[in-house]
Amino acid sequence: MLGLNQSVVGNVPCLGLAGNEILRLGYSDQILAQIIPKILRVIVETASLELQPKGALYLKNVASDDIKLAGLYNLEWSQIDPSLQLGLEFHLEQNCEAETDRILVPVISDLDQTIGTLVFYKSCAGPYAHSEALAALVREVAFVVCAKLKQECDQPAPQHMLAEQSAKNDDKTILHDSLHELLRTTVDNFPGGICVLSSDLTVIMVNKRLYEILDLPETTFPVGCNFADILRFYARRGEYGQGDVEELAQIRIRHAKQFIEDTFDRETASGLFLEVRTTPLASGGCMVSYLDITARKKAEKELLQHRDRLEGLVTSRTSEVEQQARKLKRLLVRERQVNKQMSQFVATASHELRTPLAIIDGAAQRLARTKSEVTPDFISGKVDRIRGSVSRMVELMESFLAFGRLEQGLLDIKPEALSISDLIRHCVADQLKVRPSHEINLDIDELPSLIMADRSALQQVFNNLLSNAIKYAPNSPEIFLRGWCENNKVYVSVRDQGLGIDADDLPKLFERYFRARSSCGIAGTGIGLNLVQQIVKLHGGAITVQSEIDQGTVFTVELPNFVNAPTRCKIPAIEIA
Amino acid sequence: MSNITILCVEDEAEIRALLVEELEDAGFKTLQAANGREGLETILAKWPDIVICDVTMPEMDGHELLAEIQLNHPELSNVPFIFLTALADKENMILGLQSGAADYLTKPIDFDILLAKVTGCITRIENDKKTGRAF
Repeated sequence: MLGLNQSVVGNVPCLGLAGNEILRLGYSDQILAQIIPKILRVIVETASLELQPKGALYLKNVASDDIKLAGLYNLEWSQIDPSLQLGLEFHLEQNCEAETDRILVPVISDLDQTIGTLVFYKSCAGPYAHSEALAALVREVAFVVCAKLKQECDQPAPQHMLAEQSAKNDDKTILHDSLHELLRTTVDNFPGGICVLSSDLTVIMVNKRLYEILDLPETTFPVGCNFADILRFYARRGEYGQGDVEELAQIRIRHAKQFIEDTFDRETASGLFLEVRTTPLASGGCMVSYLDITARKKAEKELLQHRDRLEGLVTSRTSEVEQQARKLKRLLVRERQVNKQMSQFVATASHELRTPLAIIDGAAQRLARTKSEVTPDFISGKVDRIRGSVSRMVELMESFLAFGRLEQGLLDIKPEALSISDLIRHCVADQLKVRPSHEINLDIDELPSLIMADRSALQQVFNNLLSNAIKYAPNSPEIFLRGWCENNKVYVSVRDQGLGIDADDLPKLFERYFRARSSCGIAGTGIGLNLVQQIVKLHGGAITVQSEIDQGTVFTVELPNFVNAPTRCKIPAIEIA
Repeated sequence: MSNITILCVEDEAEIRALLVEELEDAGFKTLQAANGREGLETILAKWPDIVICDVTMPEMDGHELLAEIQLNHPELSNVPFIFLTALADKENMILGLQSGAADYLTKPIDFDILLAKVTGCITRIENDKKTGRAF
């Protein structure tokens, strides 16, 4: 079934009119041969008539009733089937053997007369799916041709004279004039301003839009004027900025005279943006076109501003994000360090507990296993070891607990009036019980009788300092503890002659979990000195350290002579690392 | 009285003393060292039959001592080396055994088990002597 119907056929009368005009004006075959294929090509190609579309236009001579082949596309004259029966109705002829279909479209004139037939050939047999598009295109193209021809017909005398001349077969003139007219129409309908210049810059063609767009008085610069005068007029009006008018104009005149292909944008004094395009002509001279691109420029400018704003936004956001990323990374590194330190602490803490446990267990086993005679001395020796290790574990546990309370900000200092000398003696005795290998020399006569301090906290301070001194001086059994008063402050120093601490480790010595390099191989948790420092600070005091590798270390605690502190003080939670 | 000599390398004097007491009660001769460096000196000077060694010690730790023997004193690398340490973690245990320790024991130690390990080492030493595989 054919896809096209009668109503579609009725939509293409313009081509009929065109055909009429062609016949009426008596164009020769040569001209028809030039024009008609172009029409057909456009129709056939755009109507999707499959591969290698072919077409032909037949027109009926109104006067003689003959049907005349008016034009071909992709076909040779010789290929035309002489037996072709031109139907006056629209239909599809299928020819399965030749695998070619013919679509016949009647051409209907203004007066509703069928005056010809368009024949399209499509390569594949089968229904035609593009009937609507074909109809629309036939109408479109026919309209253009028709309008052009009609205009020609409606021209006053000279044009008719031309037409008459053409009747004398002056084909060239007709062609030239028709092309000129085509050009004229195109130029007039061009959305921008156009002027065509001869080689001496004489304006030989302009359109009305040029005067509007350049804001030029038409009467001052009619066709035939010189383009240089337009440029001077413009320079005077200040279109080219400040400066000598002639000089400004001359720059433009020289540029125009180069007759080169060029495109540039220009802003007029009235605020319009023009795209100026110069195209050299083969005959010399050039064509200058002016397009008003103000709207586009404005949009571009807005787009640029928008882009700049966006870029600025992106840049600032990016830097914000980068900053946050850096901060996060720093926090992450810290967090990892703390985590690592924590797990390290757990490992060393368990190690620290295993050592006294091993002593307790070993001593207990020895009590049960000994093969020699069990003397009271043997028993008391073992019991002392067991009890000493238990004190060591208790000391350790208290230190862990205090540290835990410190972590949570719960370490309470409950100052009371106490004898610091007694407290120190008590600590020394405890240490010697646990670590009998060393000797502690006391010089504490200068200490005041009473100070305000938290008893158990201060015990932790001295126990830590003394056990450190012993631990880190394995081969130097002498420890010196000295106490004195100075500037209403109480000082206690603990000195060993042991391993010493590397100078660059000193600043980090009181950091949580930090262990100096020289402590390598010696068990420890890294919390003792941190705890000591925190406790001393809570008492309003300070702790300092001096050390030299292989010479020994001195820790000096400084406390207020009499702390009139509140009976209870609590510190806020300490920020983790 | 056995003529087997056991070296105890241990920085904690009390643990060292208990160990020595137990080993001597079991009939062994003992030597003592308070750290790895002293331990190395004693090994080189006295050629003990078995070494019981702590890991965490000042100056030279147990791992360093064993590595030093394996690397620079191969003639002594057949001496059974038993670690006895409070470091109960897997990494240290693997490191110790990989370095060629005969065993890796953790504190606190059951003396029966320690003596069993020592006896096992002695049996191997005796067998090696008989078959001429050692010394």
